[in-house]
Amino acid sequence: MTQQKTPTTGAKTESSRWKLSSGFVPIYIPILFLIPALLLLFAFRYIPAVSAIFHSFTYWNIPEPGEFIGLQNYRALFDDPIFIKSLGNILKYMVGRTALVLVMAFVGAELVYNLSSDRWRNIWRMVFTIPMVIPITVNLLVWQQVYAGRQGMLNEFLTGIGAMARPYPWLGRPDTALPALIFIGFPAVAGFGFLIILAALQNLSSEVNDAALIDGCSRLRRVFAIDLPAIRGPLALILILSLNLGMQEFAPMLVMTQGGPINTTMSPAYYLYIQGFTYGKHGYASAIGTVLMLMTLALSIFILRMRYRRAYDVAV
Amino acid sequence: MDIVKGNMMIKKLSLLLVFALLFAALGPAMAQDSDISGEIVVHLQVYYRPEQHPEHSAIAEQVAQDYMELHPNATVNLLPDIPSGSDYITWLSSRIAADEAPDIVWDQWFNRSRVMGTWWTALDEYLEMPNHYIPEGTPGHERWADSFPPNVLNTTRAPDGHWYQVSLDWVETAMYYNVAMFEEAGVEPDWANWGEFTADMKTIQDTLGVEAFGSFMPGTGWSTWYWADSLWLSIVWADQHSELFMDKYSEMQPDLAWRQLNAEEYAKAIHDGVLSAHDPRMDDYLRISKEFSEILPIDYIGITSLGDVMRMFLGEQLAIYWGGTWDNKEITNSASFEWGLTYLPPFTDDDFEGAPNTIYRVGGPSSAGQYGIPVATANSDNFDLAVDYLMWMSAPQNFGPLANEFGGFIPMVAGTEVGPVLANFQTVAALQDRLFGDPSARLTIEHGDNWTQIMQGYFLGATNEEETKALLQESWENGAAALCEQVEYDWCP
Amino acid sequence: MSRSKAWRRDWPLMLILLILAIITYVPFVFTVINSFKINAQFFQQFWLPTLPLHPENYVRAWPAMGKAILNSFTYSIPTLVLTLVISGLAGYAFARYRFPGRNILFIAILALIMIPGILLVIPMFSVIIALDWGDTLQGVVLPWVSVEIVFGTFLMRTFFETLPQEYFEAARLDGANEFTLLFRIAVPLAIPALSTLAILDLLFSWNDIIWPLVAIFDSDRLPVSIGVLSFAGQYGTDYGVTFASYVIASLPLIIIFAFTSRRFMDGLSGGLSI
Repeated sequence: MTQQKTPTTGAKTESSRWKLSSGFVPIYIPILFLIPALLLLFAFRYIPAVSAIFHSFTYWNIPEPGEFIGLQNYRALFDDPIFIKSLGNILKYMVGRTALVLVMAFVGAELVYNLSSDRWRNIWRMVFTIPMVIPITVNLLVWQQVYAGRQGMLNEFLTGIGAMARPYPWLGRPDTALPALIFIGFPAVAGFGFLIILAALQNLSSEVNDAALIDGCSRLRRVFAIDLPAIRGPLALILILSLNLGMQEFAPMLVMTQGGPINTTMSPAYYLYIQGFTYGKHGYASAIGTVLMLMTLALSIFILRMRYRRAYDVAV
Repeated sequence: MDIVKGNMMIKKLSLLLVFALLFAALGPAMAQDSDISGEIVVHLQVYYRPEQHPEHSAIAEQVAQDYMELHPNATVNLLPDIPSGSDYITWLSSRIAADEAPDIVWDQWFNRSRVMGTWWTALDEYLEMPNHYIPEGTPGHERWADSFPPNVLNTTRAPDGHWYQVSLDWVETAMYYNVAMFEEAGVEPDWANWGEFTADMKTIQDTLGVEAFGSFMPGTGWSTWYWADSLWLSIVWADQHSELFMDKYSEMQPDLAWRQLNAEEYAKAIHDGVLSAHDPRMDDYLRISKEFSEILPIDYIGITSLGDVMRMFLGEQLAIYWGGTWDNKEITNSASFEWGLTYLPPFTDDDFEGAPNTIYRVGGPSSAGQYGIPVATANSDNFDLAVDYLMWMSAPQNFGPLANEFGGFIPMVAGTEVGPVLANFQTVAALQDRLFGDPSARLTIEHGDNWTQIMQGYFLGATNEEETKALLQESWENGAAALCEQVEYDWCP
Repeated sequence: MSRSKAWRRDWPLMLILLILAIITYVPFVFTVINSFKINAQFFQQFWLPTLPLHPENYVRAWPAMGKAILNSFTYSIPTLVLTLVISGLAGYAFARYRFPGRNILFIAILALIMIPGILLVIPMFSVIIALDWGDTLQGVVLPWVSVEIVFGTFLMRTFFETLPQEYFEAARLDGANEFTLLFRIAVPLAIPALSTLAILDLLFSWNDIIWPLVAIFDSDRLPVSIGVLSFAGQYGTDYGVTFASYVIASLPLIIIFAFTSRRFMDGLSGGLSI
């Protein structure tokens, strides 16, 4: 990654604003400010991460120390049909899930942003903030019942309105299990993404909007012509965070399907969990984790490159 | 088959009284052993959950208290059960990795069989010793191992031949059925053979519009489909008992009726080609398996916990629930309808040629009373205390009242009165043991998951019979090879 | 714009929002409804309320949950304070100073977001045991802080970069040193951003299950995330009490959210972006 593509340094802030101060400040000041963070990260993130990467080259039968076996875990990994399948699954899951979250968060934020009353805007914002406290476990329990067999909510609804003749086992068939996991939590408005997008929209200069309205620009056209390009930065951020989360997803798989049917919902992180904690192959699990890490990193760099290909930025 | 109607009155109090008297009589007879000292942490799983189950937890506390009075220099700390959902294994793995596990700790026996001596201390030597806490005249007093039935010892023996845990109790299973639903469908809970049984299940599905047989099959991990799978394999291979067993284990356990293949026997049979997925017996296995999958809830692959199946049964959406002794309490408390207990039908020649004319019981050591001692404790000063406390815990006058008060499992130490739980399950308990254990307990846990995934492919039509057999054979061979790599039996290639 | 005119313009938006909100709140309402049922009622009716109500579920859940909430505060408050201080300092250093290796260091920190959490459980626990911090407050809190300051540093850096340089220059001309600049100017301005971070941090530490399960040995000191599982077990679950536990567990967060939601939003209003 080159310097001007550094994440978070909005293009215009990077070079102009802070240069002045740097000359006057002794080097120990920033170091002093950074030391607590670096110490903690070193002890609880870097050392464990390096340990995990090291153990990916070992046969590691805890509590015994790992026994170095070179690239054997990695070779086995790329011959492992379940792991290969899990990669395909998670790509689909990630894309589907991210699209759902991004679109719904954007739709929700636009709806609230377009209200003319400040009071109502605040109320709706609050309404979609509070559900963030619902623990994932409760959500999954509810959605399990939505997708359940004969007495599942979705089946009763669809057979009730005559859309389907007989109930369908959504989580029990290879073609629908993964999409069913993607749609958990629908409409997926409430959340961090919604709040970031809404804040970014409210930050847009109202003059641009008013000008657009005067020009007879319809509201819908304004959304695509003005709002969407203007919040590219926040969208890219949510995209990266959401892809990251998607890549590491394993709670829905653990609770709803345990990887079935026929491994169609097996995710790499869940496979890591099984290989490590259920089968006790911690070395192999570490190799899965390392590959997962590298893939996420590659993906994030790719997104950042896409984002800064045209380095013109109206956000922030 | 006899049907036992549910809703039995539980005669806990009188039993407790008997034990209390027994204990009072034996107490003074035990010599005070002042050599034992130290401090241990003991994890009894569901047997110690003081907040949720104060009644039996009080007994567990009393047992520990009595021990400390007997051994004033010893301290026993009971660890309340870990409310961890599915994260118990994460909890235990990290504890073991850091040598911080409790000194006596619960785990599933098949998990112990996976890690064996890297985590756990072999208890063989101590099982040969006398357990003075067991009253004279009761098996186990001279040799601790005699306190346990041979089938328990056989099943919990790890692939390397050692015992890494003692199993103080056992589960039995049976089918809880909804009496009204059976009557409405005109079905009797008693079947002459498999064909009759599946026909009746179809009748229930078609006439009542409810699910018939409650079992489930998630993508990985334990399920009651495991039970079914082990039964179908046991039935089609029933005529091969003598071919599959190894002599060295037959000496230890001459009683065939209670015997289950252990990991070495299983792996060797695969290695020798006796057990082969291309054997014609496997045609029957695949057919029965598929017929079974058709009487299950439509989303049997999408259900991940037995609790969800029980919820369907108690919500009157399901005619039969296949569960264990531990469900007795919840069903007694929460069922708003009349229910009874029954079991699967025998397999006869009408079902396939050479059928054994019987059905086997599904029961096993996957209960709350499975305790082992981590290696870290064996290397510490507290090892003697841990072993001694395990002996104390397993004495009938201590474990019996605890197990019967909880009432979810059947105490398996000689000298314990069997509480009211088993009474309901007696018909099943009297059957022969299955030849094959759960898929995860056959070779390796990974093999069990692999087997499940292959069978899901078959049920969902992703693979045909021939492809399925080829995959099963490969899975068997891989499982046996993995076990050989870990244990290195003398016949291994 | 007059009120009625606004209403005429807004009602379709409000209607869609209302529908979205209703679906969003289903799990919430479901939890509350089921917290008043006993098992027999829950098995019979999953979605709708049934009579009689069983408020005693709350009485049964309370002893364990009351204790767990106190425990959670003892872990979450130090985590919160440390996360805010450390992320604030680091974010400020990255935003305000140029020093050799700044970008490399920042990327190295940000890259930590990519690590699957479950991968580090055992290595992290080994570090805790090596420090002899098993079953201690710092053994729970510091690893949590280390997870949270990654995003925290990013968020605070983004925020500090939006502050106009002129504020600092003016103060500097008045003879203020770097610490005065930080505490007198940057920190007061950063309060909205810090409260955003505080909420996110609280959500994380309140709901994390695996780390406290591993790091805490004494079951009397387990937090709410594990406390809610007390009545769910392998051999039967008390559903009503479990749902009551979930309601009790989320109350403190809802109250905090309700009181801080304005500040929370202000923190984002600087614009979070890449």
